[in-house]
Amino acid sequence: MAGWQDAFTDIDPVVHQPGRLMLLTMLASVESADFLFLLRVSGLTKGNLSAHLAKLEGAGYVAITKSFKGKVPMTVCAITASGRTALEQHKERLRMMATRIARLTSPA
Amino acid sequence: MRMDDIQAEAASRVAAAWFEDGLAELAGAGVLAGLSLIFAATPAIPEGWTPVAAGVWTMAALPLAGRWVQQRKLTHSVHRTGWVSFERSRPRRIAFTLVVMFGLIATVLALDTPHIAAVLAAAWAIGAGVGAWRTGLRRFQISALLGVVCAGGLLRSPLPLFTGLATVTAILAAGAAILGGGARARYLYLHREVA
Repeated sequence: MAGWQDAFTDIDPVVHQPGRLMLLTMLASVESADFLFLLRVSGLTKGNLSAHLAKLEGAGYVAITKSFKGKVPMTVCAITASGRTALEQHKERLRMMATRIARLTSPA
Repeated sequence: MRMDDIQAEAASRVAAAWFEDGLAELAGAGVLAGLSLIFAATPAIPEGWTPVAAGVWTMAALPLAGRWVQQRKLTHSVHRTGWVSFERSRPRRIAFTLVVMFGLIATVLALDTPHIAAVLAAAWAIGAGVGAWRTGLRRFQISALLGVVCAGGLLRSPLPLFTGLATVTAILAAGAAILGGGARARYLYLHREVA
């Protein structure tokens, strides 16, 4: 039986990490964005961004393709369908968690 | 801050980043300047053909302006600040442009007003206002204010139809050029080390 703790333990650690959550949130509002754009808007370092994108790609939440726009080489990132689902589920779990915490911490 | 607010903030930042280089406003200024020239040239155009010329210009210039922005972004912006593309597909973008254009024309016809130039300025103010709301960029707020001032001024002191249209499109074009040019100069200055 699902216990009240599940709201906490079911959190997807891949999505929950602040840097990755920010990247997924940004990618959810666009069709695709390249590495430099994400680097600039997220404020992450190159190493951090690379690591987070690799983790998201590994989980199947982000698709990364190396391509050319005209003659310009680009590393283009786009959120996948399962990435969108994971983000929506995460939002729902955060809502549930907030409700549970409010109940647990409110004076009886 | 709620998760939905965070998501909206992220979308707003991404949209603002797309407009950061000022290219879209410079392209918009070009389209408006062309319209202004057509309206100003009304005495030289056969009677009744000015709206047709303006419509043809708008239909032709908007996609060209869009292409110009995309190409300039590839050659001048991508290596400085990266690339982003939004989800609206090409057919949806064309449909959106047509809906806006015909919506504007239908509004003017339905209102049956002599203040067409004021309606155009008000439409500009609404469009810039929506842009300001979506991106949080101050220059869109200024652009919307310019539209409101133009509309108010034309309602207070109406001008002959095509003189009014030429004036309002010239003012809006100048405003867009100044704001876009300023944004472009700032953008190039901020990213000068990359060039």
